Amino acid sequence: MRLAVSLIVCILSIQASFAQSNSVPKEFKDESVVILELLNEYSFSVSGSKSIITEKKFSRIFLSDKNAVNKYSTFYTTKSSDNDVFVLNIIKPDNSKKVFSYSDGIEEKENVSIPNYFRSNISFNSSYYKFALPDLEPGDIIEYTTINRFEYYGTVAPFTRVYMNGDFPIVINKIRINVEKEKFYIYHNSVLGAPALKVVREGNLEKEYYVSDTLCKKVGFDWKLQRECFIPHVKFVVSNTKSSVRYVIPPADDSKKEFGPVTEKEIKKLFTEFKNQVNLVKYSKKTASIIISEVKAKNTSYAKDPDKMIELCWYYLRYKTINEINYSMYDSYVSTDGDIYFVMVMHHIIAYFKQSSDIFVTSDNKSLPLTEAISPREINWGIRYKDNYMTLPVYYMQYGQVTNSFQGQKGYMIKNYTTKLKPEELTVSTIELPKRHYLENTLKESVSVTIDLEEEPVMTCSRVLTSTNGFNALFIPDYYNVYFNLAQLDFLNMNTIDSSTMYNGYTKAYAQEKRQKDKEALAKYYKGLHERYEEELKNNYDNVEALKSWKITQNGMIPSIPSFEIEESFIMEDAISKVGNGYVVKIGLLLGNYTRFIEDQRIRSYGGMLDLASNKTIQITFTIPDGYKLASTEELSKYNVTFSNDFVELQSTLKYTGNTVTITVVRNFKKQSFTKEEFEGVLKFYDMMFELSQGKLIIKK
Amino acid sequence: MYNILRSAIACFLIVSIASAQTPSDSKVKADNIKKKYPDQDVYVENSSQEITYSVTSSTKSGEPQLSIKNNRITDYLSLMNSVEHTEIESYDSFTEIESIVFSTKTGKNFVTNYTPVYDKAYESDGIFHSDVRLKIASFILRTKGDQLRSEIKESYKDHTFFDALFFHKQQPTEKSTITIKVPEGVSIGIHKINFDKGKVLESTVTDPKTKMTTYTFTMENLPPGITVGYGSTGYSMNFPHLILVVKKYAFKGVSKKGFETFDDFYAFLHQLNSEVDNDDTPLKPKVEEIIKGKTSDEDKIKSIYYWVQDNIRYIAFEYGIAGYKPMSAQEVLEKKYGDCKGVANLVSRMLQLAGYEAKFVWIHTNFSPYDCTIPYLGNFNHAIAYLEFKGKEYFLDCTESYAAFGENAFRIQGRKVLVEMGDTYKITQIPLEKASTSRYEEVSQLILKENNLNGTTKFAAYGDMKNYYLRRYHYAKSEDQKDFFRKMYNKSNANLDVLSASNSDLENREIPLTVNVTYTLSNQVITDGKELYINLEYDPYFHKVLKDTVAYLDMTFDETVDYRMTTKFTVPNGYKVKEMPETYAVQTSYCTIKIEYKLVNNTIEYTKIYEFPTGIIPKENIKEWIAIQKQLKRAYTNQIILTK
Repeated sequence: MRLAVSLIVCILSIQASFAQSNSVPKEFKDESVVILELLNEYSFSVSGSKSIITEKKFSRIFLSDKNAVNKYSTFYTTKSSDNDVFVLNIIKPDNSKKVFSYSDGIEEKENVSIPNYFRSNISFNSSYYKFALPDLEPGDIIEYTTINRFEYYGTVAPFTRVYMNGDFPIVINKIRINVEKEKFYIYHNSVLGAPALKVVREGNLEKEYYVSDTLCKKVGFDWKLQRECFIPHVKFVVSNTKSSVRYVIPPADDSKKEFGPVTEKEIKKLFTEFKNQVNLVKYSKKTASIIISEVKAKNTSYAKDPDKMIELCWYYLRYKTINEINYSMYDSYVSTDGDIYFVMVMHHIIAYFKQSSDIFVTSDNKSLPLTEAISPREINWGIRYKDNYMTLPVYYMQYGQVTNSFQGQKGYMIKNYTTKLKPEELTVSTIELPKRHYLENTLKESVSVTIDLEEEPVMTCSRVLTSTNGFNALFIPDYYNVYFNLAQLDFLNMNTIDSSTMYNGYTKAYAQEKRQKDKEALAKYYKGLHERYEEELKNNYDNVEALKSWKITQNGMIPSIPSFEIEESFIMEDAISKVGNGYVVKIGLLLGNYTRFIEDQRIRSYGGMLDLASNKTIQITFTIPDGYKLASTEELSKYNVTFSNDFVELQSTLKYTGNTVTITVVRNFKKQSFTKEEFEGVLKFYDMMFELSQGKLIIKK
Repeated sequence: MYNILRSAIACFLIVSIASAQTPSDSKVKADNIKKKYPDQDVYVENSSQEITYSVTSSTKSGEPQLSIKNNRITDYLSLMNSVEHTEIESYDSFTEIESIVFSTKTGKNFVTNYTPVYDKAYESDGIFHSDVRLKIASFILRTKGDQLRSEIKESYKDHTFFDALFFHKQQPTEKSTITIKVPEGVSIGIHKINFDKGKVLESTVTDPKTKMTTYTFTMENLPPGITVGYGSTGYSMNFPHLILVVKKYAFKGVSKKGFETFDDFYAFLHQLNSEVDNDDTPLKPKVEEIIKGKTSDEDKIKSIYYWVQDNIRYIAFEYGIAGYKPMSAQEVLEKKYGDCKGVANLVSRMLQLAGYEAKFVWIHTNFSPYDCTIPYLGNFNHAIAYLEFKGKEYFLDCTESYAAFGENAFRIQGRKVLVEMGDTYKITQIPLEKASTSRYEEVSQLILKENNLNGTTKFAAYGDMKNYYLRRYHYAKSEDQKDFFRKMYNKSNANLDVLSASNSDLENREIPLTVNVTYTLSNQVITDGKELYINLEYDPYFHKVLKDTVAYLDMTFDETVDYRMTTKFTVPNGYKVKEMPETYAVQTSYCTIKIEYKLVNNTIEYTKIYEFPTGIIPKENIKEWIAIQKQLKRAYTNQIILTK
């Protein structure tokens, strides 16, 4: 009870501390919803063996129109303990107020569909209260405060990011974090332009706060926008001082509680903590021994070739990681998100073969250097053996390859790592992970087009799609099937299925029935794949009527097959229309789906991140039917263009020889990410591709 | 991705494990059925619903107490390997799902399996809070030919809320039986709906010893009750079903009344409304404020109707009796929200306070086979208000924002409605309007400018179409309202660049909405230097072809369609028309479509007419409709040829 009273007093003080600004700045006059004031406050305390986070959220929201009223007329808030408090005022333009609290709402214990802007930044098991807010009209202000108390037995609070910009514009934006000095360490960092927190001391409480002095615009158009890479935010993690595992990048100096850039000193401490994890070392060794014994048993010819054995072990580990996703380290295998565990397994494997390895840490955030990380959640572990860099294996990576997200990233490395190294013996060096030039990530689409003009005209296309390196990451996951598995097992000499003996040992009748059932199961599986691949094709070409056939000729999964390749045959619909004694052929459709960005999408506040820097070549070969020839049109010159800027290169050519028209479009994304200023160049590229995709040819008798 | 892979691997394993256990005749049967229903994974061999009434005496009051049990046993046959079958049963405060149990057939017997049942809230877009919850149980049928029995026990706390009984299930069904056991002392009405839409075998037997009367209804070889493509007109419109109405029940000489007549049912509804504690005090000043300055009766009525439309938000609570009983008028007024009942109650009361005899009305929207003759709650799913004014009946649906006074939305047109007239009631019918009352008309002028087409269009929207656009505008974000029609008219066509738009008064719902736009169309013209090939189609309708499949229910657009568009293209100086596409026209029982090119002087008039007067495509015509769509799609690619 006393707690509740103090929380209410707290609410009043929060509300009083805000200037009661009801006016919307002219910059936001046209906005439907304007957050006039926003406070996200987090307080950390200890009660017995529990740690407690109190999350306070205060918001003053101006609703300018019916859309805003509808959005907020059903309101949700969290409740995580009986001591939580919620107060909401609807403030009318004449300043009269209506007050609501939890008792006016309906408890919803289940995970219901709630817009993100009603959710807590700290995700604990909470129930939600929903409210149908009465008498809400355009011009009203909703002012609410929630105080949620989360109790937990752990010693480390969740790693939290509070973004400066969200779905709605914000006039005054405050973040406040309160910790008791002796009981908690706080590590925080303001990144991507978020102003640094200022420290204020009040007794034993160390308060860090940020108040925006500029208006925070809404995020707006978010194509290719990775929030953690572009939107200013404050990130923090709080750890009990008594905790042995802090789940933060440990400061080199424990007394230094202010977060500074991650340096070699911090990394050294991180490595020390890493090797002190007894279970990690123990179980990873067990996993390694299983992997080694199974690989050795089937590959005796390589027994004296440690490089080959290490490579095979890596492939087997990848196979296991892909197919046995429920592995946990306690089941002796690697967990899918256990990059640390993977590194330790590989370290034991390499050590078993009496070789040494280097262990490194890096980050997959391409907008922020590793030095800005504060939590292990932001860093990724890897291992290097000779020139082969390895991170947690995924199925589109081959041995020694680094995924797109890690390429060119900086990191720290301990060379010749062993678990026996003492802290003072750890030598940290900086590294830069290998990076592929954009011309090495290739995608080639060769499309042969024929048309049948008997009765209804039909366009039939054969496409050979070949991807390498980074592009494999985009295709192998989509096309992965059981045959990829068999190829991996063949490579590992572990494919024990001998089709000639599969039905031995059964009665003739039973073997026949079993063969029939297996055949049916296979046909069903194959049909499912066909449907899946047809969907993939339709995602690329709007006008696909049907996928006729497909064959994966290269799987890109084993060293001798570095590329992924699929051959497909399909029919396009509505691609040909009869005109006089000829036809208009919408040849541009074969370039794939390109749309124009509409006007609201042509302005953006942030940069963006494409899938990868890469080279893509599309070659369309159109065979003109006998008796027809290509009419000369202005459209033909449309396909002879070149364009280049800092971000993208585009070259398109059209050749007409004999009865064949060949259109070749080559585009290079020279960089993976673009700034908001560079977006104009991105738009220009997409506009040009849209125009090319609209291209038509005329053939005439 | 992993799931597909795992199921594929599992598939190989399962085949070998389970094949010895499954009788080969069930597999042969599964194969045969799969040929008939290739899209189906599961078949119902037998569906049996047994409804049992029993009457006892309440220990406190001595009044008879009626209980109703509905036990459903369904025998499923797997048509494929590795099929997950899920039973989802809804319940609310008037019903209880007592158990869901699965058993699998081993040899000749069914062996009960452990069946975990999950309970979760039911979420629906249109309902803010409801007491409806779901009980969900799943079972994986490992091998084709596996047989699964599902037994569900449900009980009803109040006969009033007993739902209709259908023979059809989502899966094709071999045999479906509904058995109703009625003891002596219980009198029920069994209403047979749509029995002309299928062969139903019936029998009635009374046990002379127990005096229990058993009614049995059986249907065989039923297609799956699933929809494809658009929405459907619903089970109740398409399939035979039963509605059971308890007339009265007695125990040891003490009898209790149910709904012997429709009058009794009305009395129940009227009683619920009578219990609403309407207080006029806060309503009066608001009514006075709204009608202030209005001199004619019509203006006063409209001002109240429009005020409620504009100012009361639709937020629905369906919780217990609140699902049937309106919120008080003053509460709706104060909160400025309510569901249809609450809003109908408010507008009726406000009009009454202004001196007009408005009434509360129960109605079923869209499609329903019920016509206010059976005492059954399923007669209604909506509430509106009714007013007789100057000798004409008006139906006021305040949830239809921007519908003008006298305009009836398609979803309530033609419906029989129950008007609350105090102790008595009136059943009347809302007129069915011609589709043209909600038409969309567009007249465009196109001229060739270099290789683009410059266009101006005036479009006009009437009735429901007008209301649709007004709602979209008024509920858009203010930042989007600025250029609303200019942005809206781009029709998701990246080749259409809309330059300007002007519109009629968006505050006036009593006039058609008219909008004038100017735009540039690119990539519609191609030339070989001698001839121009021009595609005048930039806004194709009904071109997304439905999957080629069989429909088991009538399909509906949930609105009538009357679209008329004419594009007038001025042949440029120096050119003449060499070729124009042929007219495409189709006339069926459910639609009229015409796409026509005409040369009038120096102008090509490209006219498109689409009419679906009922908004329904009968299930028998779906294949025909798919063929029409394919033809339409092709027609949209047609080009005109101009030559110098």
